[in-house]
Amino acid sequence: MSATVPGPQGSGAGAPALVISGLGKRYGGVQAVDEISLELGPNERIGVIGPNGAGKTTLFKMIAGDVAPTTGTVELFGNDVTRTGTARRARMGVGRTFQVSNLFRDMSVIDNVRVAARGGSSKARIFWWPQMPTDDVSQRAGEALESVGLIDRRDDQVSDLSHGEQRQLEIAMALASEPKLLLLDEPAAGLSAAERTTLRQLIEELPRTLPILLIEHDMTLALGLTDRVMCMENGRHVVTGTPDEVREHETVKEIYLGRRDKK
Amino acid sequence: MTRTRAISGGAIVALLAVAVALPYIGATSYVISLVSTILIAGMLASSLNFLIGDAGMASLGHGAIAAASAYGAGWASKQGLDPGTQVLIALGITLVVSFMYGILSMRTSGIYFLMVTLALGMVVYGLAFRWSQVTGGENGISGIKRPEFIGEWWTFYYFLVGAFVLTTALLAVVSRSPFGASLRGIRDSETRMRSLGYSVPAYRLGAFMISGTVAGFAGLLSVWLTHFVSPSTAGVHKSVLLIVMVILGGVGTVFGPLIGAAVVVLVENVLSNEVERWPTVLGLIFILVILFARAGIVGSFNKLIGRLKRRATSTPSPPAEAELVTPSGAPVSERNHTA
Ligand SMILES: Nc1ncnc2c1ncn2[C@@H]1O[C@H](COP(=O)(O)OP(=O)(O)O)[C@@H](O)[C@H]1O
Ligand SMILES: [Mg+2]
Repeated sequence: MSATVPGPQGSGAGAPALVISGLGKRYGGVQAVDEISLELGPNERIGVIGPNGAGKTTLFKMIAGDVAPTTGTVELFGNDVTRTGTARRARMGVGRTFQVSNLFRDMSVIDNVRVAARGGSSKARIFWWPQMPTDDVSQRAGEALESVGLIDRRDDQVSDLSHGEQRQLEIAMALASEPKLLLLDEPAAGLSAAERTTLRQLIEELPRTLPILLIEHDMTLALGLTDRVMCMENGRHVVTGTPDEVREHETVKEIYLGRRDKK
Repeated sequence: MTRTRAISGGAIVALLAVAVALPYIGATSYVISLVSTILIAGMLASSLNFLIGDAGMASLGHGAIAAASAYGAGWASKQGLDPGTQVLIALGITLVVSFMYGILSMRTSGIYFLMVTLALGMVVYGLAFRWSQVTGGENGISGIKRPEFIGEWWTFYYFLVGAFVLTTALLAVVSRSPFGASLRGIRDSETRMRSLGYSVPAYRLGAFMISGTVAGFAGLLSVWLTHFVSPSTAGVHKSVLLIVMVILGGVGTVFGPLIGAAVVVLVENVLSNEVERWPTVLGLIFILVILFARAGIVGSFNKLIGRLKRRATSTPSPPAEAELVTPSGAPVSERNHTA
């Protein structure tokens, strides 16, 4: 159903980056995600919104490979990866950030990004030679830091970064791995208004050829940055459409403006 | 940076000079054998320090890897095999045992890793005890010969010093390599590493093979020093003492394991002549270090230097430069190799 709604950027420019069909996850008595289907075109940006506990992160984890679905399938770049592990999917080109910053706390900022830039490639297995401050990995890491505005802090320890800087580093690490599909899980969580603006610019300036799936609790941010939006509630699909369609949707209005938590 | 470098560089040169000079300044054979024991224990502790400090894997059965290698050399020597074969057998056993440890523990972490390595250590101990046709059972194997070219006490001593310097340098290189950085990534966040495309178990296995090889080499050297191996070398208490050495000296420091080994060996050998209950003394020292110098002896020393250095640079320098240093405090993490 949702798969038939073409994005403004248009499909047909090659195989979709991601196809999920009938994806579901049950935790004991809780149906965290219930029969979700979605197709992400090669140049498309889709937002996933919904209240806390809607199942957004669980959906993400099934796409990344951290959680095995109880029903449904996941396809990446035309390959069925439902039974493929996280590391393999990452090497296929999935880059992701975490809702709760997940960094190497006892390493410097630049080393965090270097490890990300090597990914699981053979470069990461070189044990007979020190890390080089000038090689292509360090260069790529530096560029990623530059793009998120963290280059001045490259030699600081991660534990000395502010919350906002840690969120930026999350993105730098995902970018340094040169993903072919970017999954962002609430990148704006806990950011100040000013930091949100910077983040918004950063995401806007990413190349249009990079497909993005953006989870965001904040509706304004999610709707402003994406071509299409899917809203979830209690694990179930509510609506998928253009930002305007979703903004005007009755149930979405109810969820975001009505009875429940507003922010 | 440069001053810390200079201090650790100076310390290395001084230590090396003392080690080289010992036979010339008339050290007794007792002192030489004590220093030799410290060097071997330090090498073994370094191999464990690499595993704990970089990969976050605290093996509770590391002593048994060295023991297995020692038994290999001992058995070969008793069969009258030449030293080359002796070394090959010790190396082969080391690789097989390390691989077993690595394969069985690579999917575990934390307390489960501890339990798996503990159990494997106990298997080695059990074999040493029960498989008496090969191991000599309770009596162990004695009269093990070392190769001709290091037959003299002083040639062997210098061989030990060289071997220690070499393995320490090798481990330091591995630790600073991309692979070392990958291991620290796994130590800090396994989930992140997986989502970056790293096959975490394979890296753990690699770390174990490197660490185990160094441990096995230390086991071979110990059998050449004492000409003897018995089940107690594979005992759990030996592995626990290794962890004590690493923590005493400072996890993740290059020379911490040596200092930790020196403290433990000296307390065990020198103090045991004076004091009946040397483990109590060691326990007291351990508690004091944990309470007052959590980063270990070398680690705390590095921290102190770092703090002094920062105070020295931040006061007189112009504000622009001071800002680079002060706002974060940029402390040198005790787990990042500094000395
Ligand atoms: N590991 C888990 N075990 C049990 N229940 C879980 C687990 N992870 C998530 N859940 C439950 O699944 C539902 C969806 O959670 P989540 O995907 O984190 O939602 P969101 O990211 O939209 O806030 C919640 O009810 C949550 O309690
Ligand atoms: Mg979430």
